[in-house]
Amino acid sequence: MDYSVFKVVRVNSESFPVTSFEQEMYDEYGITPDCCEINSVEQLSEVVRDADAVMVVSEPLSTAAIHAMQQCRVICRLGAGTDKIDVNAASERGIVVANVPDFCVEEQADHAFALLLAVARRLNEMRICMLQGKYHDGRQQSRPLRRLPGRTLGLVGFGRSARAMARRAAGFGMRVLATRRNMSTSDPDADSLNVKLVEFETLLAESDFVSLHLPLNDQTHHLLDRDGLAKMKPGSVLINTARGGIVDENALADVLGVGHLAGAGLDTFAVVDVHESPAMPPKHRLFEMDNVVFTPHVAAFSVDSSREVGYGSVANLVAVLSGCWPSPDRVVNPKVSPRHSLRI
Amino acid sequence: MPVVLITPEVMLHKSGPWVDMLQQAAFDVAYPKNPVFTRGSCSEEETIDELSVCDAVIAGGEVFTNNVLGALPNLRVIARSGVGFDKVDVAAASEHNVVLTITPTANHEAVAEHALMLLLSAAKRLPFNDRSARAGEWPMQQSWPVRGTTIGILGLGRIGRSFAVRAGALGAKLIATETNVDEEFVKKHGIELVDFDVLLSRSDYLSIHCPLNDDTHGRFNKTAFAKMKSNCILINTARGGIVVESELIASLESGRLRGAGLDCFEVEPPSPDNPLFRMEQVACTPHVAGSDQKSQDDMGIEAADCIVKLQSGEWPEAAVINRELQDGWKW
Repeated sequence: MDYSVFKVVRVNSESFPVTSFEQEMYDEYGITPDCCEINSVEQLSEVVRDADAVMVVSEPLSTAAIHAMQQCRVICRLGAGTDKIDVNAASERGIVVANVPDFCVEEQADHAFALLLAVARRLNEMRICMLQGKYHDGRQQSRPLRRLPGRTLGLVGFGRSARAMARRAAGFGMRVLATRRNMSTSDPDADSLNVKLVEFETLLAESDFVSLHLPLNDQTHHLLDRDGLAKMKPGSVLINTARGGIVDENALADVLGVGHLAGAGLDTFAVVDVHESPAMPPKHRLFEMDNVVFTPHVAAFSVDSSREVGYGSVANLVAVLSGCWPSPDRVVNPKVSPRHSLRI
Repeated sequence: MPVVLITPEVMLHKSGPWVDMLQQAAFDVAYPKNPVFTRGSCSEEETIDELSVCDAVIAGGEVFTNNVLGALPNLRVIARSGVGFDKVDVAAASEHNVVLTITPTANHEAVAEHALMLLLSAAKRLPFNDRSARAGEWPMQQSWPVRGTTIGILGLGRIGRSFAVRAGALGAKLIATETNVDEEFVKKHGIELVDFDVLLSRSDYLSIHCPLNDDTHGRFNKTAFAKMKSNCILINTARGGIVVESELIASLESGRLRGAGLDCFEVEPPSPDNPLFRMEQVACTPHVAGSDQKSQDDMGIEAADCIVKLQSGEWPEAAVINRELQDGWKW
């Protein structure tokens, strides 16, 4: 099959350049994507107008952008989250939205667990003291440290990264709770991993550490609002490697400030768009707190995840262009009636 | 009444079950005049002066030289709070008929947990990432996976074994160097035993869990670093003296080693100018791995238990270091 007849637009060419893995796949199928960095809404509408497919990392694809697409068959997200894509608009236009949901499952679990341990054992407070030459103050900062065996980890969402997190926590002797939307059925993985499924509020009340493992959408926006944060166990810790918008960050800064929460480990933020590269200190007061460990939205990044996302997203593209559905777990809008019919 | 001096800073003038245990056994409890006595920087003269009041000591980091031990005729027991005893001249303790004990089961889980925290922090570049996120730089650089890598463990004692259980849960292949092997444990956790050179050449992460002694002193020197797999991350929660710090720094600067997680230093307290503190590929903590809330209590209890047992004629076999004293030793 000759894929060179299709116009494939790859946005974010500078903010997230095409990786070697991704390029290898394009070469394999004889695809030469039009690579561009988007600087304005008008420019975006212009470049996607006659595209047959759009490959996207972080660029928001609003209703207007999707309406501009005259012949697009598939939007391939190079990643898992599709919260910046108007999926409903895409469905209305017969555009398949595909992602790579499992590309960083293990990375996210490693990263979330790294943040959990670093907050639990006060890495930041001690490290800062040592940087200032205050070794003995650093030792005081460590008191009291509480160890993990017997303490409770609550997983909000029980998908793949949450399960990977549960496996790690079990090795550290933690009790693990999880909650998810559908509580009606039992879950063989929960049983084998010794995870107890509980209601959201029970999880908040009983967990010493709460870790978020769910996508951002209308239902989950500010799921942890001021009320939710207040229901968390006093002295507990929040780990967010999912999406900043799931948490009300102003309320989070408040509960951290008054000591209701002991600390947090944050890889994602709603108050800062990490893809905008502002190159100036974020103004939010969260960023002045020593009991928070920050990472700049890198939980997903490793050599392995980069390979998986490169191969997986181009595989989704090739599937649709060749007239086939991508693998069902990689279709975000499975009810869409594709512009050009697809076979399984 | 016989007196027990309690020197660790976290136990100073604090109530706790260890105090009750000692008082019930008719000991008086005393504390050093100098609140930072236990940091180990006092002169021999001051050390002797502080210790001259006691019959037994729950000891932290103070230094027991031959001179100190020779000047303390009343001292019967040094009950170290912790598992290291490199600050005690063991031969001199035996010579002067002083029993040296440690708290073998109090803090291995704390150390193992802390070592894994340092490993993950270095792997996920938390010092670099945290600083750059606060500065508004969003470097979005790749970190290194842990699953599917090889984690090397030097020493499979209590701490090494606790470390192995946790490291296994991260999905890494485990290799270890140990002469005194618990076969059942090694089999159960799928650990491959290798000699030291193989440990160096195959480990993506290498964590030190052996004591400091003549054999291990300076074991991680430039010769060892040259044999290590390139881009290895070294974790040291054991003793600073096992690693030659200047050569570690050179290996980090040259990029031979990718990073390090360090809870102990060649000299403690380390100089504020120690370049390791400013290296963003290094996660540093101030020798706190073994002391979390539970282990602090447990160390106090185990140390007090040793003293009480020895006074009542029992021999706490598992905790005693200079076992040659057992025959005929009396309080």
